[in-house]
This record gives sequence, C-alpha cells and structure tokens, in this order.
Amino acid sequence: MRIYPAAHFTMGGLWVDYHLMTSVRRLYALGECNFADHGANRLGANSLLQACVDGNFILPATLGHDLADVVGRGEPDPRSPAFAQAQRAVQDRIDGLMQTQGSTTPRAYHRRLGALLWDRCGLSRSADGLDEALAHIDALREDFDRDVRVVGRPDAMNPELERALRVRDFIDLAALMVRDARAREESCGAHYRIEHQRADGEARRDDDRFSHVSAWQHGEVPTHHAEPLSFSLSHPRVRSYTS
Amino acid sequence: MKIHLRVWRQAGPDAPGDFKTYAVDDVDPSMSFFDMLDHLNESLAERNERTIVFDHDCREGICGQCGVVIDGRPHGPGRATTSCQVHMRDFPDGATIVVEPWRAPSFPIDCDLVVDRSALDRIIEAGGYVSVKTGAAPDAHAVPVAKPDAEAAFDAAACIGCGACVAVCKNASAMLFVGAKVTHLASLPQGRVERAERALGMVDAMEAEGFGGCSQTGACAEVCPKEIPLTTIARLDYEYLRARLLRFIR
Ligand code: SF4
Ligand code: FES
Repeated sequence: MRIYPAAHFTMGGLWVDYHLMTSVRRLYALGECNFADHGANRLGANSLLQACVDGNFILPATLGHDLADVVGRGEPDPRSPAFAQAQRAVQDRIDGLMQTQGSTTPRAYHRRLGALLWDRCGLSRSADGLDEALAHIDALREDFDRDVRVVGRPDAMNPELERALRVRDFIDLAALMVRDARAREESCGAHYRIEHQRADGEARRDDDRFSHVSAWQHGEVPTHHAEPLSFSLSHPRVRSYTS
Repeated sequence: MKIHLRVWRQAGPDAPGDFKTYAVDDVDPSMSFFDMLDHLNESLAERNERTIVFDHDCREGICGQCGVVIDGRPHGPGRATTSCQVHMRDFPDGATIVVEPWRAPSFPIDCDLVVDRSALDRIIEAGGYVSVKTGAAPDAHAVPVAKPDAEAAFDAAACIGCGACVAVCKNASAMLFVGAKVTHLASLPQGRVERAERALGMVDAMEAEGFGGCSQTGACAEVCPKEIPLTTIARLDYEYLRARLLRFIR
C-alpha cells in the first residue's frame, strides 16, 4: 500500500466573531465551516473538536441573546422583496446552467480543477505556480460558463445540477485560496511556500509581517482584511521534532 | 472487469419504477461500488441520459447518508460495512449485480435509489436531545461518568441513522434505531433529564410514522453497519416500561 499526504481542507472558512456570527447579521456559522479554531493546519479530528466546542460551549451562551429579540416576532415573510430577489438570483443561475448545453460534464471540470490545485496550490507552493494557477482558474471558469453540460431536469432531484452549482462555487473558492496563498509570503502550517524555507527544508514563518488571519471580503476583486493574532500566554515557536 | 448492473430506475416519487440493465466496462477491482456508479453515470451524462441518483456523502462509513440494497442485502455483502465501503473486488468478473433502494412504507422513494428517511428525523425530534445549561460554559469534565456507562453510551451512539435495520426487517420496524438512540442518552447523566419523556415520545413517533413492531428475528443487527446489538431493543423496552410505570404512579 502506498501512502501519501493529500490536500484535504481549505484551511479556512467563513469569518465569525466571538459569538460565531458571520459578517451577515444573525447568520451564525458553527463547526468546520467557520475559520476559527484550527490555526494554520487543520489536523485530523480537529473538526470534531470544533463541532463540540462551538455547539456545546459557545453557542448556548451566545445564540440565546440574539434569539430573545426575535421570539414572538413571527416568521419572515417569503413574499418580501429580499426573499424574491434571492430566489430570482438562484433561479437565474439554474436556468443559465441548464441552457448552456455544452459538451463537458461538471465532474470533468471538478477533476481539472482538482489537478490544478494539487499541482500548484497543494503541499508546496511557489509564487510562479500560484500566478499560473490563477490564470488557469480564470480560463477554466470561462470554459465552464460556456461549455458545461447538465443532463436531467431542473425541477426534479438532479445531482448533476447540484454538482454543477457546487463546482462553479469551487472554482471561485479555488481562486480565493490561490490569491491568499500568493499574498502570504511565508511558510506556516499547511501553507508551504518553497521560497520561504530554512536550510534544512523546514518552514520559515515571518511573524513580523504575517502574524494575522486574512479575511477576504467578497467582491469582483476580493478585499483583504487582516485580523492580528495576539499571543499572551504561549507564544509561537519554531517547530522542532527533536526537542 | 466487466459488470452487468440491474438498477431500480424511478424518475420521481409518483413515477412508475422498473429495473434497467446496464453493461459497465472498464471496472477496476480497486474501485468502490460508488466509484463504479460514478463511472457509469459519467458515461450516461456523456450520452445525454439521466444519471442514476443515489445518496452518499462521506464515502467512508461515518455519515449514514448512503444506503442501497445490493443483491438483496442492505449495504451489500460485507459485515459491519456501509454501501460506500463495498468494493468491486468483492464481485467476480462478469457478475450481474442487482441494486435497489430501501423498501419500507415509511421510506417513500424520492428518485431511483434515494428514499426519504425524514421519518427517522421526526423520531429524533420527539426525544433525541438533551437539556443544556445556558450561561457560562461548564468545564468539559464537570460531569463524571462511570466507565461502563460511557462505553455503553458510546457503542449505542455509533448508530449513523442509515435505516438499513428498517430496510431488512420484514415488519419494517425501526426498533434497533430507536433502541440505539434511547440507550445512548439514557446511559449518560446528561440524558437523564428527559429520560422518561424521550422513551415515550420516540416510541409514539415511531408508531405514528408507520414503522412496524419487533418480532425479534434479529435481521437488523445482522446488517447494521455499526453492529448495534439487539440488547439495545431490550433497553428500549425497559425504558419504555419504566416511563409508563412512572407516569402511572404519578
Ligand atoms: S441501528 Fe444500525 S442499521 Fe439501524 S440506522 Fe442505526 S446504524 Fe443504521
Ligand atoms: S456515504 Fe457516509 S456512510 Fe456511506
């Protein structure tokens, strides 16, 4: 049996505050989908830890505060303009995918995207590789929008349509990962930039410039926000397997 | 290797269903059963045909999302495995494999191999929860649990809610599932608050959803991918009786 390390996680997620609320008011993100607990490398079983901590310790103390305010105010009205607008946006997206009638299946795009990230935004990364990756992802997005094929019907259970929607999101997420990896000029956790290594090949951090969490605000070109990491009790050190 | 697949095809909940046979070429023995279905689906999509719909998520036997009947047995030939853990190397070259959805009145078919298992969710809603303290977070080790209780709870908590026990049962009973949930929570101090209401509520919900009773043939424990033991059903009976007695005394 051959065993190899594999990319298995984006090492990021939705930004949340200490109450686990996202930047959208009243939208909470718990567990793995938020960025919070695992640091620069999400190791095995950390997801379980995060689910327990968020669900058992944090949310019971924070959500109630917010709920107290809405209890008894009735359910949101599905005929409100905000709802209609969101529904139309989703419907337009679905219609667009169904009408493209191209020649390439969503799964084929998924594979191409995976190979691209594996090669250039995987276990080791370089500035040149990441620049290339971003260009390739842009090309892949264009190709997808022009040539995706979704079989089946839009008004029935249809995993092909579901996959198409997801893969289209993955393409944008991949671009974000690459952008973030390109901006972080250091090696840290699961992010290993070959330009930033010590003589013995170990990762070299740059705490002066990068001891922060990067949060990217959605937009045509994402806006970067840095949230500084402050350590008061235990301080980051250089990883050593000998001492 | 080459495989002939006889698959249940049904376009929607009210559409008629029937078996359809597909020849699948270039099957690699190291493929999982679902890899093989993906492979077939890809070729269907290339030919502009509707792909076979089946439920899956983790594909490593932990989430409980998958579940198909393979050659008459829920989750296929292996012991203590889920459908997603079946591999093509377990079948001879040229085999004809029959794939069907779970069959139970409480699990209506949504599409092809996918059934609606929300009846199990409604049973959970009727008692599969515990009260928690709000306010300051408690210490993680604030509630001591005896080792045998922790073990019993943990074994029962292994149930992933797949519904294979219902699918295999001649009565389409959900007793093993409910037994697992009730045993899990009744074994722990955290679950004691709703202990009696849980047993009554979940059994009522189970009956309201149309699941059958248990006649103790044990087929459920035989196909359960998590090897939930039949003794959880005995525990469920005990908890139910205890709750009825308590209600009577009060
Ligand atoms: S008891 Fe076993 S077969 Fe039944 S739902 Fe739980 S894991 Fe599945
Ligand atoms: S897909 Fe998760 S248990 Fe099979």
